[in-house]
Amino acid sequence: MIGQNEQLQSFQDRFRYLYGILIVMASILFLRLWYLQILKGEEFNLAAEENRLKKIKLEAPRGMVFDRDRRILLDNHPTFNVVITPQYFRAAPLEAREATISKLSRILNTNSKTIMETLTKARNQPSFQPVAVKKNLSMDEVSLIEMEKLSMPGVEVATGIRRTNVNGLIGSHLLGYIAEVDADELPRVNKSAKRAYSQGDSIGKSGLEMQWENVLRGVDGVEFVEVDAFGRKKQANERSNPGMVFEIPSKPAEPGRNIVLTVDEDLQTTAAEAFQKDNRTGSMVAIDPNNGEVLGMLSWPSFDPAEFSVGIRPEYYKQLISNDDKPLRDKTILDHYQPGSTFKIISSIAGLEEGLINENTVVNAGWTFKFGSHTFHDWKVGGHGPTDVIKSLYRSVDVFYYKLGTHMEIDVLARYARNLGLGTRTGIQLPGEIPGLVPDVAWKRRTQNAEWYPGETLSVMIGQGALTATPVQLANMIATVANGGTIYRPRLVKYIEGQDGSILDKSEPEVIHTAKFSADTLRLVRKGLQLVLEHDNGTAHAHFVPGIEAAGKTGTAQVVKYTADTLNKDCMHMERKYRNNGLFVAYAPVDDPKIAVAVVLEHGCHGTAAAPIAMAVVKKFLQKLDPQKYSDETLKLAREAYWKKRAASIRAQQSSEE
Amino acid sequence: MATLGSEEVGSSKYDLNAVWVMLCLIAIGIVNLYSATYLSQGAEAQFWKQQAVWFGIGSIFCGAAYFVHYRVLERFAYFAYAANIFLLIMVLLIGKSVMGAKRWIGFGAFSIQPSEFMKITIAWTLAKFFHDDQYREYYDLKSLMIPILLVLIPVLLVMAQPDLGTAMIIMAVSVSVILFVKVSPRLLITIGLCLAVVLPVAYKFVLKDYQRQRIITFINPQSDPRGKGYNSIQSMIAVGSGQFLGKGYKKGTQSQLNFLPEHHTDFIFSVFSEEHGFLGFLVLLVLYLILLTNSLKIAYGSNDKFGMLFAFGMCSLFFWHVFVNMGMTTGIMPIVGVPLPFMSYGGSFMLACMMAVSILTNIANKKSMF
Repeated sequence: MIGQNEQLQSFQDRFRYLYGILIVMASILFLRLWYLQILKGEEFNLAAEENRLKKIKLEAPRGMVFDRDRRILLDNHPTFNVVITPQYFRAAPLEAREATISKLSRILNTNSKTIMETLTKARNQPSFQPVAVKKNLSMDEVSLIEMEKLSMPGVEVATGIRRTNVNGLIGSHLLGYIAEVDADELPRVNKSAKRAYSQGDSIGKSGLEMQWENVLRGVDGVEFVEVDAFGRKKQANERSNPGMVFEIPSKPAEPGRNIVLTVDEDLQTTAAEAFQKDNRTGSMVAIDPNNGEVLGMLSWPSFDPAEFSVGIRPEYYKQLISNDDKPLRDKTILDHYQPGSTFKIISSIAGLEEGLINENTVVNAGWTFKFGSHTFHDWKVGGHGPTDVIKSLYRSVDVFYYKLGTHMEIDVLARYARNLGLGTRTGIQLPGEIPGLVPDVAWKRRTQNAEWYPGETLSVMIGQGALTATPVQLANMIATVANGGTIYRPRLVKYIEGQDGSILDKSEPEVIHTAKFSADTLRLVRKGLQLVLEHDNGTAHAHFVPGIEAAGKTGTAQVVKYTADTLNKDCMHMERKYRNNGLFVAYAPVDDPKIAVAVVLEHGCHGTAAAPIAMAVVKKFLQKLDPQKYSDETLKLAREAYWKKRAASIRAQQSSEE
Repeated sequence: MATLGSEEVGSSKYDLNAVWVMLCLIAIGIVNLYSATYLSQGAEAQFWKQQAVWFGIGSIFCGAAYFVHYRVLERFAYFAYAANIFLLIMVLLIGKSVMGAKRWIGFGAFSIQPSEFMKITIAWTLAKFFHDDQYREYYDLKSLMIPILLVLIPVLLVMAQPDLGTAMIIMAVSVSVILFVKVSPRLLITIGLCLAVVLPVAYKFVLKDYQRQRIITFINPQSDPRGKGYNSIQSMIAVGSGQFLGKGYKKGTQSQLNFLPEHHTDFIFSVFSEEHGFLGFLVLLVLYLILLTNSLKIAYGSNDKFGMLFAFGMCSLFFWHVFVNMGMTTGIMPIVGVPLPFMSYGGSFMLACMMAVSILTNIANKKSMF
């Protein structure tokens, strides 16, 4: 039996191990805390800050868009949304919550389930963040909610921003619309964005809103709030210790920059009214031939862009999508058409410049023109008789151009077409512009692996065949004829303006190409175009406005190939979708052109039908330009003088025939 | 060694180091608790006061106990054990259920947690057992049958509550004491092998789902950062964000804004480290090290086997609490409910820790019967 002392001594021998263990454990803790607090302290501090500080986005209003006279086209209006803040809503007892929802659903005229679903969807976001139950409230709804607010815990009316297209339909395509950025397009958008977008941000989806997104988009402000683990905002009074709140200054939202357009709202309205009458479909583009400023640009039918920025109603969207006239499509740049006889402007210039014809060239134009085994028909049964280049234009004599076409190389003609802006994008600053098509030998070989038939040139001469052009190209083409050969890049933006009114970026005329046409060529062609309106037999004489010296050209383009059935059928009796497109290009005044305009009237049967729209725009423009010279009074006098003269000449004609 | 208890036996110099350290820790603890529950509403906001009340109660009890020689305690060891076991059974029968666990028995306005006292009682009982037992070079399985039984009964009762953290501490203290009296190497190897077989089986069939989850999230807290790993991650963020000097008293955002769970009990250390930084941690670590080395010294200098083993038991009690708690709040140990002595809120635990100090001081200063 060992004594207690020896036993205790044997125990005591073990204590040094115990001290050892103690030192090891203390060292481990020391190193661990050193690692967490000293080495990784900054990182963890950041994580703690991220925990407690929640960013609230202060939405920046987008820049405004003005017309050339500084009338507001795109504006931001305050809108009222009803929101529920879960933090306060959830704090209320169950009965109060149920009462709140049913009361709110009665006011908003929805059912409780929809509201609850909205709340459920937002359950993952911090509870201080209000959930919008309904946007864009009516004033009635606002006042009802304000009245009942005290009995509805967590419910509030909040203000938001709504993009407003001041004049509704007249600029929808041009101005475009904004909508919330799609979740699945976010990565693609953010790859090129100057400032990243996040879910819920608005982004320009079409037109100028899309093209000038970086200018119009403001810089969202940010406000920090301190939240607890349950996402509840900490109120100042909940916290009597002021040193606790670690203030981070909030950054106010910076509105986007404003854009002043070259477009004149009055011309938009004028054109829109003209299209709206008789429910017409088509587009109008007006350009200042001296610098390429776009004065007007309208596609019809239109849509209401405001619908998009607040979330489009499904039934409205369905209606837009199912409409055969494609109201969502900007026909000025996204659609191309056979230019029809408007192309004779180019054919005549090519003929004159190449020396194939001159002032004295006269063709005896019958109804038909035989080329090889194929017989081409003139639009006029019986033909036009002796025709020079001027008459070929104002009477739109097909046979004259068939004949000229037999001497014309397609590649030469194509060169003139390109020099006048066809076949390539005009470079207008709008998204999605298409280039149209100018066919030539290489094109045919490339696309169809076939040789060009000389007969095809004849079709192209009168603006048919594979040839297509967009309305904006046609407007640029006629503007080039008006200014004598300079193609400008069409511009929509006059200048960009900072919020303080300073001009940040002024756009200057941009010459794309200058074609040298001889004075004779220009004189002859312009004369022919002037007579289209002024000559008694001009194809658009019916829409001649005495007192306005304008030049123009009609064009008619087949939508479908004529069959034996349709050839002789009166256009107006055909099904609408088979009717020809009517085109009209014009400029005015003839001696000092200030406006060039192109109108395409889909299924308008004849170019003549497009003329009144173009002339209405021209008239409106000139009246603004020189209110005295083109006043209604002066024009009335000119009209009376014209009819007097016309009557006299008819009488003289009759007496001479007798 | 003739110098047993040599530090001036019979001199008037009492070893009161453990008491001073305890008082420092309790003071820090209550001040810290005030901060931890500063923004809390309802009862929680009063915890620091309750803790102070428990300190008062503890002072009276332990002050009185100090005047009883620890040798007297030796005689009552099995009685205390039986009483504590009785209370543990009562907990299961009539205990208060809080969040799915039955841990408390109410006594009027107070409720106590008998399992906390079991941490002391088990050391007390084992000290008594080994004191009475004959000297052995090594303990083998046969000679350890009774101690193992003594330990398993309370451990199983506590696990039934369920309270894994407390059960583990009871085990840890017991194993510490048993290892201290030496176990035969053969038995150790056998146990090691058995554990290697039993643990995976236990993991699969014995542990509850939430307990398994804790182990998984300990190994990889990021596996479920918003769910089970959340506590561990938030605690590490709290501690780490304290950096060198801390965020300042009552300015710990992790705890004040409730990102830190259980910030008045198991995660009180995170609160402290967040607000007082590495410097604060060093102060705490030094205090605990003084307490631990002092209790080792007391055990070392004890006059008899009972005193030495009991003192050592108390030492290991503090050791396991401090290192497991700090380890789990800093992410180097799985999250188990182990509080930090004198810092965590909890009346029974406070009382138990104060008793432990009282016992240590008693053993230190009453080397002979008088």
